[in-house]
Amino acid sequence: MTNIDCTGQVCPIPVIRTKKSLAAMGEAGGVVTVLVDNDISRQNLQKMATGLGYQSEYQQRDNGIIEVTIVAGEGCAVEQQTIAIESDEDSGLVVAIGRDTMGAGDPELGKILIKGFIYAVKELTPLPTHVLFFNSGVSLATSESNSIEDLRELEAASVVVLICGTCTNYYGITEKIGVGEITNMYGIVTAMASAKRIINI
Amino acid sequence: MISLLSNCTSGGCGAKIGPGELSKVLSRLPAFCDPKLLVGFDASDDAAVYQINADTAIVSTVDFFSPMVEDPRSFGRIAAANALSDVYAMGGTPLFALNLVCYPESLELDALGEILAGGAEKIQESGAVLSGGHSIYDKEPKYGLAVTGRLDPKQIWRNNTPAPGDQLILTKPLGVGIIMAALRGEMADEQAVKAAISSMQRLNKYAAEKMHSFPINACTDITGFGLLAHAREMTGEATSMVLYRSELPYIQQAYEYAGDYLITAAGQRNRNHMQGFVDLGDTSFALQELMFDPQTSGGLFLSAPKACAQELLSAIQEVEPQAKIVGEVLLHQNLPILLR
Repeated sequence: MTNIDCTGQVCPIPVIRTKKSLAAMGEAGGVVTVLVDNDISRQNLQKMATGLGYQSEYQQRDNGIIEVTIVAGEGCAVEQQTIAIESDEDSGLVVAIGRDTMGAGDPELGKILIKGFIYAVKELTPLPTHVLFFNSGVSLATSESNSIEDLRELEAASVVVLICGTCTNYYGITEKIGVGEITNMYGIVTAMASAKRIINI
Repeated sequence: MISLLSNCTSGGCGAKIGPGELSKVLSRLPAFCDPKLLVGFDASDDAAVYQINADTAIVSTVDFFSPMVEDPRSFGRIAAANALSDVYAMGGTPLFALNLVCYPESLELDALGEILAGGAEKIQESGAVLSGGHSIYDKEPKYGLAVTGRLDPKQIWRNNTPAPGDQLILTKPLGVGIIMAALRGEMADEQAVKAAISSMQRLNKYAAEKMHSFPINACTDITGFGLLAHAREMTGEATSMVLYRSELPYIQQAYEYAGDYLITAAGQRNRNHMQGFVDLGDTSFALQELMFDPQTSGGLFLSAPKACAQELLSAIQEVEPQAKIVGEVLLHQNLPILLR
């Protein structure tokens, strides 16, 4: 947690100081709280936070002071850049996996199918730019998953593997994730929005 | 070397009171009626125009602000060029100017001398004469001019009378506000600062002189309210305009700085003010910021018939090489400003 007091300072100084603190946290991310004394500075801070893919909120304090809190999740800003660079000249294909089985029917068959599906994705030319995991799909990215080797190969081939952090927390498996990067909904939406085509499982 | 900037909380036209706030206060003032006042503040035009006789009107304007650059002489030049600009934007010729000075007791007087010398240079260049002034002590230094000019009352360039089918020309590049913000944050490169200062110091006289050979339907100068607010002001009730995003001239580094969030409070105020008047669509964040960027001593923004716009542009480009045709005027649409 970093606290920055920007009262009495005018833009762009509060934005520059905040951006520097966020950058200093690196990929690990963290929380920065900034005190400003006018609403325009608050708006500029949140504009910057949104643009860089961070979550932010604010609270009105006494004496016209506003406290802006910016949460930098793991590697949020870094992912964004990867997306921007890669979507220029690649397949533009994003694979979104929101469950741990494939198709409706016997779950046992579903599990066999999803393993086969991920294996087959690995053989695609060109490869997808991103593979996204959310809801029960996140269990496929744990080190106990029987798809973990395929996913690691995809990652090694520069495919961005993004895992929904809310979901891994919900299922209590954050520690077990063995591939890819934990992201937030912003990261997922950005990847989907920059896709040319999406396969939804 | 004294530090002009460290005495200031905000400088240049970025320190203007927001257009929304301002109109709230102005609306409470009584309306003055005098048929000889051809242009008053009700039209939020650049300067007042008062008719003397059938062939002569006087144009009167006042402008001052606190420093946005460290060098006092540059600041003097910029403040004077900015104040004189309103006369040019109305189609007038400056006759004489009065200095307005606020200065801290604690600062060296040499710097004030430099500020006034910079201002005097620009008054000379404009062909006007310096004829006096007024100075007081103040916490923050401020400088500007009250300028009086002359004008043919039949050829006033109002700011809100464009005709559908006109094309729009912007004479100076956008981005000086963002570059000055980057300078404040000690993140601006020297080249960018040079380009911005040179642009702010340049009189709009030369572009205006070229314009006098052409029919001009509307003209204003871009100030702290930014391009979009001035564009909206120009459309009035009767027209809309479309701006060509790819044609907007700007100082290259300003685009990068905007992308790095070296952004101003005034730019955000301008953005808030324009909500509902423009659909930004998929415009990149940096270009959005440039369109909202508060300009100090900005360029002229003018509307002229399409038939002569290209020829007019070529003439203006002889003195303002970065001038561009940046849009056109349409019949009234659902929004005043459209982007293409």
